[in-house]
Amino acid sequence: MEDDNSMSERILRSLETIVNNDPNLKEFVVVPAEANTKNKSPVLYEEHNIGLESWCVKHIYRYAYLELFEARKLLLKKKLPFNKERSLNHLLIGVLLINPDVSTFWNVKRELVERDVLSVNNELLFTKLVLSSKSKSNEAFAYRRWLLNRALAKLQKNDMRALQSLFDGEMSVCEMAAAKNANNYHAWTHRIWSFETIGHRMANFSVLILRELEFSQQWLSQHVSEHTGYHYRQYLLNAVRNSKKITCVFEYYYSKVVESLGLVNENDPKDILTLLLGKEKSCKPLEETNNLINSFSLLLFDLHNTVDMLNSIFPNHEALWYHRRYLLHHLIKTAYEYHGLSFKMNEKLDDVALHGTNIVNMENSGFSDGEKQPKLFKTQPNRVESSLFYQSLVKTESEFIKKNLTGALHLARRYEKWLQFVFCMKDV
Amino acid sequence: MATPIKDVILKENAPTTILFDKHVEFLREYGKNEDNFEFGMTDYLRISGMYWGLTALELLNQTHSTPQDEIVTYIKNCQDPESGGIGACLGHDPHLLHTLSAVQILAMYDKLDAIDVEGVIRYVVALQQPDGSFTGDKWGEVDTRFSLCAVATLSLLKRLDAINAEGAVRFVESCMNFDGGFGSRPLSESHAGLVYCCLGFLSIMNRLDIVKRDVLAWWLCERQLPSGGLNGRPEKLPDVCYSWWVLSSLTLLGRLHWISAEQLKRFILACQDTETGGFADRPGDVPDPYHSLFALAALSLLGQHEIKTINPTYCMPQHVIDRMQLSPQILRD
Repeated sequence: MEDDNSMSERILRSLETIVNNDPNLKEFVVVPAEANTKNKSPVLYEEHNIGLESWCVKHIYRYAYLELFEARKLLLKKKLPFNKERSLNHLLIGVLLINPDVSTFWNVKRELVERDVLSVNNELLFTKLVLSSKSKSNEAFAYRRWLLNRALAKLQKNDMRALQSLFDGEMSVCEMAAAKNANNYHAWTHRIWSFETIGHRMANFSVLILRELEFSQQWLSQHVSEHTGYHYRQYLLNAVRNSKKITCVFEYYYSKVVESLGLVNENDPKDILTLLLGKEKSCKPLEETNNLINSFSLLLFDLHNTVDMLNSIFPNHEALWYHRRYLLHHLIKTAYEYHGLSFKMNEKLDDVALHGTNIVNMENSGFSDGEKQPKLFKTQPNRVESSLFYQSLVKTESEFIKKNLTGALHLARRYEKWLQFVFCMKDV
Repeated sequence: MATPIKDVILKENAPTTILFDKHVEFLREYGKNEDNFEFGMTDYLRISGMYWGLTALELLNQTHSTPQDEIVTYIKNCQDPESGGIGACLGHDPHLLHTLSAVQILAMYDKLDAIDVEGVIRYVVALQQPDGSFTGDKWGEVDTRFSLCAVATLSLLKRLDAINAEGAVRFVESCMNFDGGFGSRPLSESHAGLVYCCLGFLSIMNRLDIVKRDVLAWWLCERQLPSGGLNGRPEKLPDVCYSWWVLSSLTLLGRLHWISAEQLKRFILACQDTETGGFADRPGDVPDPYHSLFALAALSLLGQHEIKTINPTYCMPQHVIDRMQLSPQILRD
């Protein structure tokens, strides 16, 4: 047993040495190897990648686990000698690379950071390494957020370079983790958190958001079936709508929309709103007007360019249809806001006899038997519903559905039903 | 070019009846079999693991065969005397997830007085943030899961009055998306597991009125795939645990009849392991107590008569909830 422990200690120390000395580590992997046949170190280190032969995993995990809990007991009683406290990190590196779901071990790290035994920067590098092998580890992302909050609290107020570097670091970690695991909920949630927490403190918000919009479009074109990626784009579009920091019109998206609507680009950008939605009741401040122009431009850009283009190359992807729903919903919602009206999509469907089928697979006729027909009552159209814009949306959506009836019948029908019965669009 | 839907195909010879005795054996033996626990690898979820296994056994009417006193003592030893919270395992730090699991087990055994109840209340209350949200432990990670854990724990201890209820509801409401669903925090993607957490939370708080009822129910129904199974987000594979998250959510919304129960039941039964017993996430995968509990709980909501009635809010046997005189909200017409 003694031999086993000293071997484990040696392996853990050599892992620690690499982690401490190489700030450019890329990946950690456990390499399948049945037994220690070659009588050499199971730690492989090549081109900033670490491999650990699988035969030793059990041994080092057990050793480090027991040592850590022993130390923990003393630490809680404040009986752990100072030099011992400085000698825990190799154990933590070992157990967390093998099993990053154990929150107690991350907590020991937090305690050591609080005592200045470990540094925030090194820990950010270490979690990145953990995420390179376990890209869905929410514990690792949570630890990163904790570290970042500490770093942000200590930052000089105007240190934009440091902020930028933190921001870039998070974007690249998220991209790495998202690329390793499709629909990686924790990676994208972390990206949103980082944008909210770090991005919003930065001076060049417009530049940041434009860069992210470009990134997300690129991402979607390569991950067309990942709903999580669309959600991130929706987050960005909402951020544009809600931001008070964007004061200019996004020329690129604006001109793309002018082009797709067949308009002339020499007028005041504001005219696009009047043309589509009619005259506004009261004059809005310039920022709000620009904000509306940007929002409409982006939503229409995605409707006409992103979704149509991706759907024609990669038909039959549910995630893409969900994005279309988002766009429709927000186009209409923003139109209501333009007119100072409130918009609510919270209709109650009348109950229908389903006979054991799923409601979303019901034939349309099931909804329209006599008096049970859900809410297609003719009401007086409001300012939005009577606008040119609304009418043109009804038309484009009908055409989009029709176009897909051959290639994606199921999804097209589902979308149609959603527009009719959930979104309650008139005359689809 | 047609893109195939991400789904599984059920085999002709997949089981179509519930393998009752096999599941009892599987659940009873799981904790004892050393092979299931590589040293220390699953310690970090032990108390929740006990909740899954023991609740599943109770749904199969087998509680009399579990070593109750031993379990109660173990839980008692996992309570941190200082903070009052309960950890996953001896020596592990307290966390809200395991605090709830522990309270659920003790409530089931009617042994809540075995722990320091005031300590638990103190622990939960201390985790509420000024914005109404809850962190999972003292290190500050916020998640809607923890909002459910907090109010479920407190309501089982009859101390829901100890927190800022209005703020807690406001926070969960701020996690609602345009599709009616909820994510792990404000601005996060809708996710069926987190939809359950938020609806369960609102059910306990008697505030299901804030939900976009049919918009959300529609989205939940869209989670059903041709195999009958349910996924948790668009274009993901079906997983038996979503049978529970989605079905309990639809039950709370009073829209259980909106999906095809028959097809779902066929999918769940196909996830049984005919050799070892237990349910896996998908047909043919390795079974575990987690998926077994949620499969059984879903079958219970679908009215499988061999299984005891489950409560959709707490994921606990209904008779326990009745005994405790709790009546979490369910929307009905």
